[in-house]
Amino acid sequence: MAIFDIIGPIMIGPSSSHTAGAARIGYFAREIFGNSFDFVEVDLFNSFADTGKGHGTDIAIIGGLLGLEPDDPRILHSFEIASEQGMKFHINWNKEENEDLPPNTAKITFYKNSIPFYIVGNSIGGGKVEIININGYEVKLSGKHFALIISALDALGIAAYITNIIAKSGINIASMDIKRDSSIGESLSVIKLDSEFPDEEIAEFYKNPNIKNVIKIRKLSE
Amino acid sequence: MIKKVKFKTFKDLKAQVLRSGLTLPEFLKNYEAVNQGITVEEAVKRMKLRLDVMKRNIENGLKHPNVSRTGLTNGGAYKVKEFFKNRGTLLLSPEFTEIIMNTLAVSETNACMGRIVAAPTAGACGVLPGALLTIAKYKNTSDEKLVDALFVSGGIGEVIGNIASLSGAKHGCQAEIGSATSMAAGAIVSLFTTDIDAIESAAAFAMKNLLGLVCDPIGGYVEIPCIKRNVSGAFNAISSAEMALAGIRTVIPFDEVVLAMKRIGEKMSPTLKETAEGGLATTPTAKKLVKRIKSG
Ligand code: SF4
Repeated sequence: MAIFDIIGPIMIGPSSSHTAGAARIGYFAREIFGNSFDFVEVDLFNSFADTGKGHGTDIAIIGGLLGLEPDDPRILHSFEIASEQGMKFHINWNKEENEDLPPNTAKITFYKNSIPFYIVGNSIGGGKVEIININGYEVKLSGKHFALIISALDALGIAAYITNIIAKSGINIASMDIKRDSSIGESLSVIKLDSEFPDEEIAEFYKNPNIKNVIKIRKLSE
Repeated sequence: MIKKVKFKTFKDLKAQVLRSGLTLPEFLKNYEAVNQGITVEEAVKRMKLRLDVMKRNIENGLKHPNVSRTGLTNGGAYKVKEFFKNRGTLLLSPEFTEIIMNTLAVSETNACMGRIVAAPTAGACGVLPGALLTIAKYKNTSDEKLVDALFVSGGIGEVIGNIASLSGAKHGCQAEIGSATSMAAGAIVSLFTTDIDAIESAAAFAMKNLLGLVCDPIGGYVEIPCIKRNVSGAFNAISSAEMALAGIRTVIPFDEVVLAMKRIGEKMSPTLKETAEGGLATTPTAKKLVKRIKSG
């Protein structure tokens, strides 16, 4: 453990899991989806739903969705800021215990032109979080790496095509994980990188017609 | 690239410090800089940021009554401040009262969604600033020395994390307030001496005094009993530090005290480890309060 993790992090209280972690899940979700959406729905599960009110879990997630860092004191006023900025949201407190999900879980569904896109995040303690599902694909993202998330039609040679482009950009791959959903013939690749993939080279991926969507994720700060 | 440095136990840390010829804070600054891949100056700067947040918490936490979202926190620090200002019947010296006030200010700031420094956790964030910064104020300690002391407290926390944990969910409150008080005790001693044995003894006394402390927050909110436990943690740190400065040395080495903490934590019922299913959390009044909070 780092000394700065012991005397730190600097965070918004009261709870590293229910407040700081919640803010980080919101922030992470926005990192993944971007900020252009019509409406966002937040589902809180298990302990998040149970004690989230008193811990400000709802306020924290909305703060994160507004792009406020987990230690930004403006998080306390996130509902007001959201209404000023015209960000429409709804929070569902799912009181039924859900045994399939970890204790502190939030599902964030963005709607754009009525099309939903969801991200499930889990607060694992000490302010650290994991994104465990993106639109039905199980993933495991902690924000420690730069990453690319690429959804594609499940065609032959897609993995090679993707790694080739990354290799050409000169960036090291820390890990690559491919999930297939044969029922819809799609795959999702989560590629963790040692450094940031350049924006201007993202277009390279789309030259392959089988690639549907490329999401770039920055490393989350402390 | 410089090799990463590691130590597991206090014994290990002490041996490395002695071998390096550096003081404990110097060693720990280098340690953190190397492991983070930054310069020592940058490491000092990052710690100074934390110190500044702690100072601000004390200042802002006393400006007006702090009321939390649950209502369980309701202006305690402010009350002590008014009492202090109006020269209420202080039981001891003004310093004593100020420690209560400052510790409450930081812990209440946390309960009210303020920006704090987890040390080692958010629930225990009042102990270190409350004890260390108040003493520093009365002893005219420089920021530079305070930053050094924070590194010392971080080193002690690291040992606890290595041997046991810093988590109430894992080992009960002895791992949170217990760790915080232990870290603060060592840090205070380090303001006055470089004697690493004195630092170790202070940390050991402080931890020993809180062994067995369970984690039973009402409703799972970090307020009751957490906030006032921070105050007792701050005083425990100071008395432990003073005993060590007077020359008393711990019979049980710090590493073994932490090991005992771990073993006790493992034997503790899960109902007493942050689940709010035992202890104070299940008293009739607590249950009533929680029902009210959750419905409203
Ligand atoms: S009672 Fe539990 S939540 Fe409260 S300070 Fe202690 S360990 Fe933290």
